[in-house]
Parts: sequence; C-alpha cells; structure tokens
Amino acid sequence: MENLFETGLDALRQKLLLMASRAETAVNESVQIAHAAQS
Amino acid sequence: MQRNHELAVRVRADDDVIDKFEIEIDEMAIQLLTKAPLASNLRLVTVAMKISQNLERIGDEATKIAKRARDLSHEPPVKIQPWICRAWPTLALAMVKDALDSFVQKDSAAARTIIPRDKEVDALNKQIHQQLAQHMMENPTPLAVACIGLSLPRASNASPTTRRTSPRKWFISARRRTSGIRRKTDFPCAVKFFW
Repeated sequence: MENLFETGLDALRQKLLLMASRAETAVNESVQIAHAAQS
Repeated sequence: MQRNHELAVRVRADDDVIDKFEIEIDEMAIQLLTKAPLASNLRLVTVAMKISQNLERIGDEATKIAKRARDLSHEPPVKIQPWICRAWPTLALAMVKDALDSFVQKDSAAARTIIPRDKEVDALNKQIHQQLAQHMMENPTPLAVACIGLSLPRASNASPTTRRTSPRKWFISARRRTSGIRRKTDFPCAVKFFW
C-alpha cells in the first residue's frame, strides 16, 4: 500500500515539474513579446 | 510582428496544456488521497494540488502579458530601464523553480532560503512602478496611461499581495496626478485590466 502511494506520489511530482516547465516557457515567451513591444 | 504573433499563439497553446495538467494533477491527487497511509502524505498531496493551482495562474498571467503586449505594440515605448524588465521575470521564475525543486526534494532548508528573495522581486516591482509613474507625469495622455497595463500583469504574477492592493491604489493615485484625464473611459487598456 505504501509503495503504491510512493509510486503515485513520484508520478505526481513529475507531472508538477512538467507543468512548471510549461509555465516557465509560457512566461518567457510572453516576456519576449512584451520586450519586442517596448523596443 | 509575425514573430510576436507566433509567440502569442504558442503562449495560448502553453496555457491550454497547463490547464490540462492541472486537471490531471487534481485527478491523480484525489486518487492518491484515498491511498495515503499517513497524515504527512495527505499534506504532501494537498500541497501538490495547491502548487498546481498556482502554476495554472502563472499560465493565465503569461497569456494576459502576451495580450497586453499585443495591444500596446503599436504605441510608443514607455521609458523603463531594460535591465529591470529582464531581471524581474528571471528572478521570479528562478524562485518558482527553486521552490518546486525544494518541494520535490523535500528540502525545507532550501525552501526557507527562497522566502527572503521575494523582497528582491518586490524591489524591482517598486522601481518599475516609480518609473511608470514618472513616465505618466511627463506624458499625461491616455496612451501613456494605457501603456502601464503592459507591466501590471507581471507585477500581479510576481507578488499576489501586491495584486490585491497596490496596483489599484497606485493607479488611482496616478490618475489624480494626471491632468486632464478624469473618467475611467479615458484609460482603455488600464480599465480593461482593472475593472
């Protein structure tokens, strides 16, 4: 039971990291647009 | 211009993917909650759900920044020191990344070191607000005021407490100081953002 939970938790952590990476990409892209608009 | 359009499309696509991630994480977390053997496990799962909500909001803010930038791309640029515009998102993103790493590695000491770094982001936020206020006083036109909308979503993203209070107060105060502009309708972009 505990192993099953740990495996699930690892998967959850990996999913969070993927989500954060996508959020970082989105912010970087939007900041690039903002910089271009200001230059 | 074409490059900006492509980037804006990508930001929207990223936001859609982030929204899907949030739903998937919620579903995984709900499943895990039924299997959690210890109270500490429950806390981990609920914190993971909260983190995913915050990441989802970051995606929304990125979309807002892209929209504001698109709206303002035909207007004259606002005078802000470029290094601040580069440093602000870099610092904020580094904080998010380090916070998530500390969560994944269960490193509470590393997590504690992130908290004071918020002051650096707040300081940059303050500098940008000052420079924008200065710009508004030098250029008291609706366009100058509207340009401010460009930076505010980033401010909201970097600091939730600031989002609740300062921008609105700051905006009202700046409006009072700007001669000849008194109605909300004189501030198309800013109004869209605030009201």
